Amino acid sequence: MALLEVKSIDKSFGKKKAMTNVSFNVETGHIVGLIGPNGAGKSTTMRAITGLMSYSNGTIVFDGKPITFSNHQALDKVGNLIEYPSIYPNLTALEHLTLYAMDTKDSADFKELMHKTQIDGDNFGKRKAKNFSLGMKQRLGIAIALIRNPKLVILDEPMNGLDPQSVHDLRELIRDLANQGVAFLISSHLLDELQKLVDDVVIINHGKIIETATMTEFFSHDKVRWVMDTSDNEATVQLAKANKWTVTVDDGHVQISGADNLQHVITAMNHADIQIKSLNTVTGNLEKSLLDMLANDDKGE
Amino acid sequence: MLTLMKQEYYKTFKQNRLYIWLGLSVIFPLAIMGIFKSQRGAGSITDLGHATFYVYLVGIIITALSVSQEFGFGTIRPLLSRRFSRGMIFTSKLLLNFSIYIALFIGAFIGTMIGQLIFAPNFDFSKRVSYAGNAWQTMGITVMGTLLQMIFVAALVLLITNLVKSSGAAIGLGVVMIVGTPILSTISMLLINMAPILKWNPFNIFIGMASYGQASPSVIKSMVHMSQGTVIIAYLVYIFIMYVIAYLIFKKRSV
Repeated sequence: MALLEVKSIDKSFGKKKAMTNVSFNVETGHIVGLIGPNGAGKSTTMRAITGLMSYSNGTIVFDGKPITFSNHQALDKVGNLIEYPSIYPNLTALEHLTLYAMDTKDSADFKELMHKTQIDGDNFGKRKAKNFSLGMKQRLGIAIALIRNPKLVILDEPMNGLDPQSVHDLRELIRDLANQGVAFLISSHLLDELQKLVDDVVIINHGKIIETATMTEFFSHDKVRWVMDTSDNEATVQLAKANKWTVTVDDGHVQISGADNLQHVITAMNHADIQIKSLNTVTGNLEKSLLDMLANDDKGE
Repeated sequence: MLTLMKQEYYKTFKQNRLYIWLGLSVIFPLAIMGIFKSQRGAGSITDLGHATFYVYLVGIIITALSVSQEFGFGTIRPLLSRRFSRGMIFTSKLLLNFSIYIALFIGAFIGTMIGQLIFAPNFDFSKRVSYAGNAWQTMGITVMGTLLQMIFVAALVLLITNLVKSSGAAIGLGVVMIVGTPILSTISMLLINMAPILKWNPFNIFIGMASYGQASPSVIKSMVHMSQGTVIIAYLVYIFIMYVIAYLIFKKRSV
């Protein structure tokens, strides 16, 4: 049984459907990327899971307990950072953690958490939050999401406002917690970052789930491609077609995929006396895959 | 529920403005009695040095901010996305506000007592000063009447704040309810002239309650067309209805 089960959720705002039959699971210790364009329904989905918004049909079950708009006892072990950090301007970082830890006997170690989320240096813990930069507020928001030792953490654009080092450290922290069994549901537009982090992806578009897969399954659609400049592009295309590889010519570069490996391609080209002037290997890319998928989904509508 | 209350107090005690407001509640009657020699008599002392007006106004502001700030800071999301029900959260806010009203009254009482000792040392609290009785009794009725009015207006303010998520409109309405009693009285009389059943309109009930302790029961009856006891019951019913509506709006609101 999955830690979080979202089953056939619908939500409408007036006549506009915000979520239609949304279903996906989050397993213990997994990092799931909820990905989609602006207005696709990512935040709406996250708000429904955290009991902030009602939904019409379907069920949300966390750790075996239902979550609805009016009944969310189960949220005791769910941390979240949705849209932007929720900060009281007159409280310090330490006071925020004290405040949010009051409703649990099982809170994280303040000192350790402040260190891991980098809110312990430079008198940070003693300064009022109204004086924090966007990045500092974001780090505090993440610390608040983690303070009650949650089993599931929901993070909406967690990398917003963070510098590259902080993004790297956050990635390490999330990975470390996932290894300890904490599950994450993360949405972000920084797809390169997400690609380095997530185990599973849930793609949402126009309020509908269009793909749920592991990262490996997801990239199986997007094969390795070799992009090259050759002494004779036309001959290369003919050679690729003869070998039943997929070939395109784009902006003067030949792009081949579908061969068993690169060695086969090079050997065949040597036999055909075609010189390779430059060669690039392009592996699976979340951004490209997502854009292709969304384009196909939009065409289908 | 206790945890929620603890959290509400924790947030409140970390706000400097709470201490400023409480400090001013002590200073206000002292200043009134110190500056104006005419305000050292029974009328002023039983009205806590006219600090009931100050307590009323600050109470309205605190009530409006207690919900609107959570929306403004975005802290309403972590507040609602926990195991606690919205009913418990709403109740904790009400209890916090109510306890601050009491603290403000205590501050004003302390200020009044100090002011009396300094500026009116010969004032006799046992002397009959109004139809209600001696100075202590009159003061008690004035405080109780003001507190009940605050609870009524606070319900309206909460209702508006939950509807528009902004404190401005709610505070504005609260101030109108405080300073606009003559206007409300006129509106109410016009309504009653249109149809006697409209004596049950909330403005009329509010005016009846606002006059409690200020005028004798017979005067109040001729003014609002119902007995003092009926006014109190209608007032409590209105308070109940408005809090229920405010709660239902709060309960149904997506954030």
